[in-house]
Amino acid sequence: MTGNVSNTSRTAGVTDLTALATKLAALISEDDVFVAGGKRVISHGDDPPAMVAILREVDNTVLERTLEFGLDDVTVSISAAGRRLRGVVAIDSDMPGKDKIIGHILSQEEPDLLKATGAMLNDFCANAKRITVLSGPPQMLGSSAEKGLSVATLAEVWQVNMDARAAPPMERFLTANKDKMIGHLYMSGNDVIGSSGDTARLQEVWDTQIDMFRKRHKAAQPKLDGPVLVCLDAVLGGQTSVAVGSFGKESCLFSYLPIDLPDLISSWNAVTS
Amino acid sequence: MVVDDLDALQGKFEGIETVAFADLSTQMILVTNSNSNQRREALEMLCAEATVALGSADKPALGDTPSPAAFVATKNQLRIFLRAPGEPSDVLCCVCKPDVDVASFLSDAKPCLAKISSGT
Repeated sequence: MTGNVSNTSRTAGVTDLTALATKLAALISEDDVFVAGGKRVISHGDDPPAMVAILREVDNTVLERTLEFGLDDVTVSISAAGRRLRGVVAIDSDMPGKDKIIGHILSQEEPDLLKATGAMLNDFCANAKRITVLSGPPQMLGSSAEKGLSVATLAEVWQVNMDARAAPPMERFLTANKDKMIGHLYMSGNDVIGSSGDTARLQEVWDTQIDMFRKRHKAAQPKLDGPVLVCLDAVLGGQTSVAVGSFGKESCLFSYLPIDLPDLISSWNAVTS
Repeated sequence: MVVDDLDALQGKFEGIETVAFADLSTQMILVTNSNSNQRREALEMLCAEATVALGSADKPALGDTPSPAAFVATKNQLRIFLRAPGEPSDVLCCVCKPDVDVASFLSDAKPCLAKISSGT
């Protein structure tokens, strides 16, 4: 994300120093993750929400650039300049009707184009697990007088809440796997802040066994730190199993069947990594 | 040789770092795969964790009964503990990478443990 820093500071059009300082702070973030090809990871689907992540990138782009967004295995390239989205220059997908979107400058006077572009991005964002961006030189699109639309306008028209924050990892894990759990308790400290299914036995386990189990586990693995999920097969009678997860101050206790265990562990890793 | 069975199991799957056969009654790791890089202290902790997670008849970890299989997922590792069906003290302790194919690994690890435990 370093490429735009000098561009931003050289641009006379940016007069709001607070906004500039915010942009600079974002640009020098040490948390950026890059993947093959120099692509920067900007979202893991819902962290932050994919559409929010894409519009933030547009909002961070001052000089004209082509932003190549990778949404899992689909690539959407857009032209952005002056913190505005000018239009879509390429879609690497067989989606029908893409010719009506590619190569046109976005304008409020073209509501069908605006709506179709928003729908296209929303569709690709809906199930994408990882969103990346690669900033490249501008590609020809319309005339330089055609500015496109600001992020504020796009967010309003496409109904994107730019202040939206991802739910805590524990909540995302529980929501994503609700159908694999017989019952669950979602705890903050010792307070139940969510539950589903059959929880009577889980509550009893929480009240009478969890503290001792955690003490014994910590004694066995003193270096245990960070998010942990412990799954114990077939301990509640028959095949009914129980798992306890910890992430910061939040915990969960849920019952499951062993057949669902690989998916549950995979999901836990995805949410906590 | 037990070590050959452990080596074969470890070598068959990507992301399996250590496979160890332990006796919970003495809380000792008896054998590991030959290229395990776990130090003695780490192996002792692994065995202690197996004892806690799998529980015993008089002290289930959680719930009502000892567990036949326990899994501990952390950021860097997935640790898998399997108990032999016929001999509750015989346990396989496995240290894996988080993205290991759990279902496939279990389908091989369970018969491997049964073979080692029965001495066949």
